[in-house]
Amino acid sequence: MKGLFIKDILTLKTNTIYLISMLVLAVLLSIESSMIFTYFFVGLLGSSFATSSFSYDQSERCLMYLLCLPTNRRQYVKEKYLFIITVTIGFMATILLISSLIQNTMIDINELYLLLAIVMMIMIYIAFVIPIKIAFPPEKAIIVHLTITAIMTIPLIASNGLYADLSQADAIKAIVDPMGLICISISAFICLFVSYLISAKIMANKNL
Amino acid sequence: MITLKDVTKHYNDFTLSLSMDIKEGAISAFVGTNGAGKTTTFKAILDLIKIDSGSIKIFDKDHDKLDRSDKEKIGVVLADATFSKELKINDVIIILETMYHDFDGTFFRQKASDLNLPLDKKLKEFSTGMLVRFKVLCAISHHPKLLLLDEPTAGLDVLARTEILDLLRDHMLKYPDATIIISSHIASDLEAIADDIYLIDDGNIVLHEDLDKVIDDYAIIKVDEDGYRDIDKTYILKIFKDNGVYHLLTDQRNFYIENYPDVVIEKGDIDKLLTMYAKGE
Repeated sequence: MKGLFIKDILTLKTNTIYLISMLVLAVLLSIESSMIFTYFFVGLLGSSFATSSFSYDQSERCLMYLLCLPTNRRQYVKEKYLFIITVTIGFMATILLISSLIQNTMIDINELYLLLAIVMMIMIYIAFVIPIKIAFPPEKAIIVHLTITAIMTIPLIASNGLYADLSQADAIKAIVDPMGLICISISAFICLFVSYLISAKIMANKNL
Repeated sequence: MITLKDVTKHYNDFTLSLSMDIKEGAISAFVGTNGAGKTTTFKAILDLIKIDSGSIKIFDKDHDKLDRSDKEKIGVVLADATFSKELKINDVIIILETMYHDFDGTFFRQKASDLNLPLDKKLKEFSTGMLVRFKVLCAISHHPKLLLLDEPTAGLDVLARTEILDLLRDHMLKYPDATIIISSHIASDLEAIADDIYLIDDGNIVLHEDLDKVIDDYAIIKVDEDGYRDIDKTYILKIFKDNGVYHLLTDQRNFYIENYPDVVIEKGDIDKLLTMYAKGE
């Protein structure tokens, strides 16, 4: 699994220009837009960037070759979850750090609650996306992926306008309370677990 | 080393149905026309496709239950698959070092240099020949006990093919117990290294024979209509008629040389065998 993880990092590293553009865009957004919108958007960008590793695996039949190396289908699926979750959280943390440094502000406990809640929502998004990426060929997977992203983004854009008139603290209070955070966290873990089982099953029966 | 027992795999217009038993230390050539089922067989052995029935065993284990240490003993070249072409050889070295305990980085770098493979160029910038050399190098650099090579010389010119075959010969000299299964369209490549051949046609193994026997005992007899009527057909395996001339495949060359001294008898080789089994009746 370690080898596959390193392979994915090295492959994404080849797309440095895209990564830097996304980081710059995200940092600009974090300064100009509401916190909710920014965190969501950054989470979606990070996870989309990470899930692009599927495209590299499926081009030139790389996946076929990878499964001839000392790994197996289950390890491949596990690695994808670990990699995508790690990259997404890493991406969000990087943006948070950069925007905090630029704006010279520190995150408070309410913002942390909000951030955690959004991370969990992004995990639910990832739980939907990964089985699709495994089940479908790249050209079909991208259509389904974009559809899901659009469905999640519409309320996000709406929320950007909705909360624009409220103060940030009120907006946070309106969305997150500790109980809500616990509920959404449990939901995210359940979704990821079920998603992993589905992905492993699809992968186990896949003809390459 | 590898046993395929009553393996079947059905597609819409093609069915693979075969049994094979490849012994440890053997170098077996897998020969067949395009679409005969060579790559499908490789994929089945490597568990890249799910077989419909039968069993495949590698190292006496079910092929889909190989653990990490078993897979470390296998080296693979697939005709149309490798690492992402966005990667450089330097990246691949890091990945292989992580994946294989026995990966020999020094050997890999040395051979890459000998074969003019740049370490810091993306694979997508490689020529066909460079890419094949790279794939073979990846397959042998952890000193595997089992090498599965699907069309490793496809699309290469004579010089490039010689380089690949030299690489394999070096591996065979260094590790004489290694088992190799190699498929190719180019018979001369296989004749240079193989011990035995499996001839596959339309998803079935139609012939399994030692290569020495093919070269020594197989022959194509060419006769006209009268000759065909008169010849003893006891040892005739396949018949193919072309422009009024009968081509008869036999595995008893000496019998026909002794009994029909005036008849044209050509020595057998893999190409002729392939043609006769593909076109003959």
